[in-house]
Amino acid sequence: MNQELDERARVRAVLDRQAGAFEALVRDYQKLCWHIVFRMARNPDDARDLCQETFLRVHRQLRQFRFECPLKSWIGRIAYSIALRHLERQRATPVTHFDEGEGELEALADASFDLETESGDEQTALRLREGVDALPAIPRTLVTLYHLEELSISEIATITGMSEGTIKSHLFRARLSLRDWLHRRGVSAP
Amino acid sequence: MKNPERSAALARALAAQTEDLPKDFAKQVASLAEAEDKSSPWSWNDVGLLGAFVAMIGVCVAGWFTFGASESGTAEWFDPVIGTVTTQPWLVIGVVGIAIVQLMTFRRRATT
Repeated sequence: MNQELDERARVRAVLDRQAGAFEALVRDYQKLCWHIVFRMARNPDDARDLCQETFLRVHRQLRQFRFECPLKSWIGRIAYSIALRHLERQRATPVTHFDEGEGELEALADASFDLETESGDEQTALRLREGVDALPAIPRTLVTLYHLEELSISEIATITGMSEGTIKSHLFRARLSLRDWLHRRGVSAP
Repeated sequence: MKNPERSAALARALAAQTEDLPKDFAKQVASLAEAEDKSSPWSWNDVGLLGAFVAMIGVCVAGWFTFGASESGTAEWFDPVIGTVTTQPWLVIGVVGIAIVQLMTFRRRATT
């Protein structure tokens, strides 16, 4: 409730054109925007342009924000849709779901792999980062939102428009892919 | 399906990314947004579309008065329309307004 009141005050400040209000809003959410857009677009220059486009659209459409979800999710959704449009323009249509049985995937990912143990040293952490970079755009973005931004599954669902089950499938599958990635590069599971 | 476990190791690996936004990104975007505010809300594209819409209506009306009215012999069905236009200007303004809003909405959907 307090959060919503804060957000209302902050949106009001931007709409009233108070000095520095929009700049402060951008500063608070630019990290989230960058994490979404950069993981999708990969190219840093493109990602910077897309982040700028995102916040200009936020500024234009802020009057239409109805507080039906947190401001963070609303901004994230704009960033995600702009990045997705960018990917589609590049004809790199992303995969949005997996066909495999979800339960099976969950069991595999949980039973056989401990990322914390695996990535103890610097070299393995670097491999892990490369592994994340090698994931397709959508899972890469979901992994970032879940593990780095620490958003809840429902927040990610609001941002991406995917169902919670689909997001979990992507996350389990991404974890499996990372395990394979590390194993192929000689890092053995404990 | 239960939630996947969060991984601090993955978070650390992701956080170590060197690329980032410029330091003054927020300031840059804020000045761009301010400049956008100061510029006219009507772009040349909007003006062109509105002009085309008005011209299209004008051509239809002119066409009717040039060809349609004389060919139909009598324009008795048209008279009530003209009567409404002259006696109910707000109705006409309303209908035209709705048409313009629809056109602009369509354009916005097409461009976003």
